[in-house]
Amino acid sequence: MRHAIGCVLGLAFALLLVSSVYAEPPTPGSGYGPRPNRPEVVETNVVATGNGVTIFIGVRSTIPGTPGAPGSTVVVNVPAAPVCTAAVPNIGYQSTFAQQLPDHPGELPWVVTCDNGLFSIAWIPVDAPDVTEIVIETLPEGPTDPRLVAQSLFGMVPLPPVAVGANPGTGLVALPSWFWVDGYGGETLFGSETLGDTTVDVEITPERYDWSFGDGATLSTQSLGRRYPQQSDIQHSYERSSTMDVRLDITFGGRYRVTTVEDDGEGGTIVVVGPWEPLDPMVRSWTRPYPVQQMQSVLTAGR
Amino acid sequence: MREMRAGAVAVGIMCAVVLAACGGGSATPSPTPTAEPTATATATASVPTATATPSRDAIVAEVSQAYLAYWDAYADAVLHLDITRVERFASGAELEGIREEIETLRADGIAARIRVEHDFDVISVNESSAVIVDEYVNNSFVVDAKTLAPEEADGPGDVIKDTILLERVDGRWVVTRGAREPAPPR
Repeated sequence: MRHAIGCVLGLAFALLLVSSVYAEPPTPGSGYGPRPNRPEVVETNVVATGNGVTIFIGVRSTIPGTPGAPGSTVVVNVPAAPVCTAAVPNIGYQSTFAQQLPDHPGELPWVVTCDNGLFSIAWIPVDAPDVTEIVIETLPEGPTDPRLVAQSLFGMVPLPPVAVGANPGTGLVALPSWFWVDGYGGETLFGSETLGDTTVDVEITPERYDWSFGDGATLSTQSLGRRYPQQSDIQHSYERSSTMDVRLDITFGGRYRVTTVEDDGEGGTIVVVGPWEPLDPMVRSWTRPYPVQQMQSVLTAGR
Repeated sequence: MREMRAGAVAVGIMCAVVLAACGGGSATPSPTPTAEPTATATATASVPTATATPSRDAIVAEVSQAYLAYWDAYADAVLHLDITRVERFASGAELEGIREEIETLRADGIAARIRVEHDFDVISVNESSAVIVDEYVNNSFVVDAKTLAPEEADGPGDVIKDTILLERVDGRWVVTRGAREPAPPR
């Protein structure tokens, strides 16, 4: 993942450093690139998770999107987030891919399609059980600043394989069900990369856990809850039987810091560490279906 | 319209090469490259419609032909700054992208002669959608929007890699979206 972050940062920094803007229109006879406004995939990274793999795709595009918002084959709960699916090509692997196979040992190409117009190819390990999530990060177009670079990096840092834990496995009407955040202990996540004389550090921390229990009830907490058999402080009692979609929204806060090496004016260098600056929060969502049943008393004849 | 003929010939040849490679010796019908296609003929190239149960090879041939017809129509559209010339071959995000592209060209008082040599694979198909990966050599260049001059120029010669989605809309294969991938070094 560090490699992926580095690539994204590298491209973003290249924009920073090059920052050439063509104000003059091209002259007749000069070169032209067909379909110049197509979305450009600048980075694709596949990260193994507990249940399969997560595909991270960095795109430079004019397609409207929500930086940092998730798209997912399994769960998509954030408005404006692209809905993406991944599938294995069904034709086999012809010349285009055959040439690339040596560069991807143990991997096969999958086709990723999103409802916001993006689609791309991702190389997935052959033995990966499934694509569990697809995260699209829309990178800023044109010359940008460190904050936008950091914001982009913010959305590309992979999260742990979070799942919604519940006990009992099947809820009972009028009895409290316990819920907790499984697979993540609330640790702070980090991203960092150095390019040239500039380093950007990004720090990500969970700020809030919002639960929707599927029957209209919600709960906002700063607790992860507790895994069974411990008693969780995230509880809910249902009043009717059904299969509920229990949703967990985690709001992550982020901040970044830019460190540069600069001339000290006397032939040496000094390291200038910038202050931590806040980033816009990012919400990620997970959902699980949760069956709830009614307990029934059975009367038996007695003597 | 010499530039269109040149482009179409290159396209036709590449199509034949690709389909020969893809077909693996099967009896897959391939789009027939014509030696002297005209712009009109290219723009109105027929795209086979769906049959009851088309074989995969037949769909690949249909998709390939539709993709090349799209390119001819696109070349025509950006040369004459006329979106209607490509409307039968693209829709959705792709058509909107071309519309924006034409508006940008028009605002700059220029147009474009498209010269590309395709090298593409149809990597995934079903009866309603198909995915193509195309690594093409680009020698397209800018022309004056009014005079369409020059007719010849040295193009950049760069390699562009696009992934293209075609969907069957009203019985026709049309390009609906595309993404640009980092081109491999050559």
